[in-house]
Amino acid sequence: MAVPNIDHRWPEYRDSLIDSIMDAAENLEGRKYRDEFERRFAQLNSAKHAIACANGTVAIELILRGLEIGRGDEVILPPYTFIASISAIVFAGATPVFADIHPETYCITAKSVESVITSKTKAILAVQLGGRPCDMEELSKVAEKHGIYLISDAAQAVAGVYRGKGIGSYGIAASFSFQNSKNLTSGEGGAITTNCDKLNEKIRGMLSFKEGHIGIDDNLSEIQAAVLLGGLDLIPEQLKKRTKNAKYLAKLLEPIPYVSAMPLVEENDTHARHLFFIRIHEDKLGGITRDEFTAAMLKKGVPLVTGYFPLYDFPCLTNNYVTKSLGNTINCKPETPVCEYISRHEASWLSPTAMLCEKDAMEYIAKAACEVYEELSKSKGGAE
Amino acid sequence: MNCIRTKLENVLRDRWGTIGPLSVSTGEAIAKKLKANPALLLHSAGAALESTLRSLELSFGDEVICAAVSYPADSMTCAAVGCVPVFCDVDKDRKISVSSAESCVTDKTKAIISDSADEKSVETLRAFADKHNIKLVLNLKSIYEYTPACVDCYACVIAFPSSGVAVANEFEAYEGIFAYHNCGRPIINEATLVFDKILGGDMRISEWQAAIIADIVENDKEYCCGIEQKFMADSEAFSSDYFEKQTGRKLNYEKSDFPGACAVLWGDIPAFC
Ligand SMILES: Cc1ncc(COP(=O)(O)O)c(C=O)c1O
Repeated sequence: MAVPNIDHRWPEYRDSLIDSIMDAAENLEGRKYRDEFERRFAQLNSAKHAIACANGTVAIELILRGLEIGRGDEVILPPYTFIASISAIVFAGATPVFADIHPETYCITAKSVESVITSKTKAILAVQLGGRPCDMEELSKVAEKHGIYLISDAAQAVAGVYRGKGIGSYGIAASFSFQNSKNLTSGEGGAITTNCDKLNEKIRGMLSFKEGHIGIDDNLSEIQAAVLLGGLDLIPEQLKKRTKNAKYLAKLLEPIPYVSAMPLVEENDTHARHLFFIRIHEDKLGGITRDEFTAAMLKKGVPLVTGYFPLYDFPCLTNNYVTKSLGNTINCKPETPVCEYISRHEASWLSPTAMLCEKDAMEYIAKAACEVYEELSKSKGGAE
Repeated sequence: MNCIRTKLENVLRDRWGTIGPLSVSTGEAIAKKLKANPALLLHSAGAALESTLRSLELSFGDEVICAAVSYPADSMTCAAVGCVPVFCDVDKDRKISVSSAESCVTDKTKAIISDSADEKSVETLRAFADKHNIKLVLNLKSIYEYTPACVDCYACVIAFPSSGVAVANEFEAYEGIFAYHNCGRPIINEATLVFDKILGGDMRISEWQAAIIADIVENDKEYCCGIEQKFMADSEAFSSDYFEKQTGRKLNYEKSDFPGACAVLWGDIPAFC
């Protein structure tokens, strides 16, 4: 089978977008495009407010600062996420604390969160990993019970829906990223959604250096807002395609014992489908490792990579500067066995644009998985 | 000469939205134009200043000298990284009064931020910084304020419309600013995530913003970022509980502590003080 196109050209822009981009470029101090983007993004998330900002990292930092969470406070997050989730917490001055993830969805669980709550805990940062909504209902209950905030790192979950409502409407606030690989992009960019008027006002105060606020120059430019507005128009069609492909690929993987897709989300949830995870089951691979399997898939032209390293692996988390900034040392030996296992032996994901390819690409991916198993088994067997 | 429309059309066509060819070539063009050291484009001037302060590992327990009349980003960025802005008075020409700055120095002082790039003030402040073994950081509101004397500071921040640039004069500064602005990635082999040394944030510029800077630099365009110096020392933000939580201190300066600043702004110490 010839390798079909599994490298969709990204981002998708309409050529006509240049006119609004030029208009924005000529009125950089204006807010026409930013205001319109914020209005539409709030609507997409069933949220009262959306605030455009420079990127998804500062979006988290701005939420924490807006809630006056900082030095001496603890914020719980999963160790299985992009490093920006933790750097934002550290930049805000708070101490990150790791809680384990679910073995089938890799999202943080309410139970693991509860096990690490202390009197210093101020918030949970729930990462909507790959675009899959976390169990926000259970997490909200824990947050409420302990009087702490639930914040959503929805960097990968643009257009995600949980229980019929936009993912950005859950918790006290949510952060989004519009970095180049994301499902909605302006090269760089970010947004915050919240239903809280006070927090909305506070964050806007910081971004505009309003008296009484610690000003932070993390605004989104007017040009980027024009780009994002163009992207928003394309989201429904793209999401439909991503979803259709993801369901099809999950079905194709079903009969293959050594790989699996994650379970489908519930009926009234929408997975934003930024990443498609392929779980590789080493116990069924007869000595072939996850790393060997993904490398062989890549060789066959399937854009499959091993996922994140656990955050607690990174030596920079305990360097002197971080420790001095926090007045605390981050615990990099957490009890997170699920993350420990899946990050080293199981998790892999397809490039974010793979789900925008055609049906034949999905078929090729599933077929490649079978071939890789056969080939690697043979070469291993031959060597023994 | 490549007009702004063509530049933006190229970004639209090339789809390389971040840390792309335009950001890199524009950084090089700035360095060449200013006969300066490496120039890095960031999403804002405030971000450029923040990564500069972080590259010096400034945070809780550190002090930075700022002018009582200065760009808000100077002292606000200090507060954002967790260190205390210590305000000094200004002279008649709005420049830092060195005698006042002298009285601000403690064993916690790590840097001084100045908004002036003229040869004399850079030379004077560099001597002051060297004497106290602290770093001099410049924050300019336009590329046209840059002078050859600026190579004498640790790093120089330049504001551009909806973006900023950091010109680093020490390799360590460049390395640090780069890593702090890009998730800890090292300059060499930018594609790999090393995360060993530095826990970085995201202060990257998009190619869209870089197009604006490129257009200004290529065509020597005049521009204005709307940033004005203000009397910052008595900002309510610095006497807030949140500031105290983040820095361990509350500031309680009054206008009358800064007769030089009052003279330049109001002609005298205002009657309401
Ligand atoms: C989970 C998560 N959080 C935060 C971020 C940071 O977003 P940005 O790159 O826009 O700063 C990302 C981006 O990749 C992400 O994947």
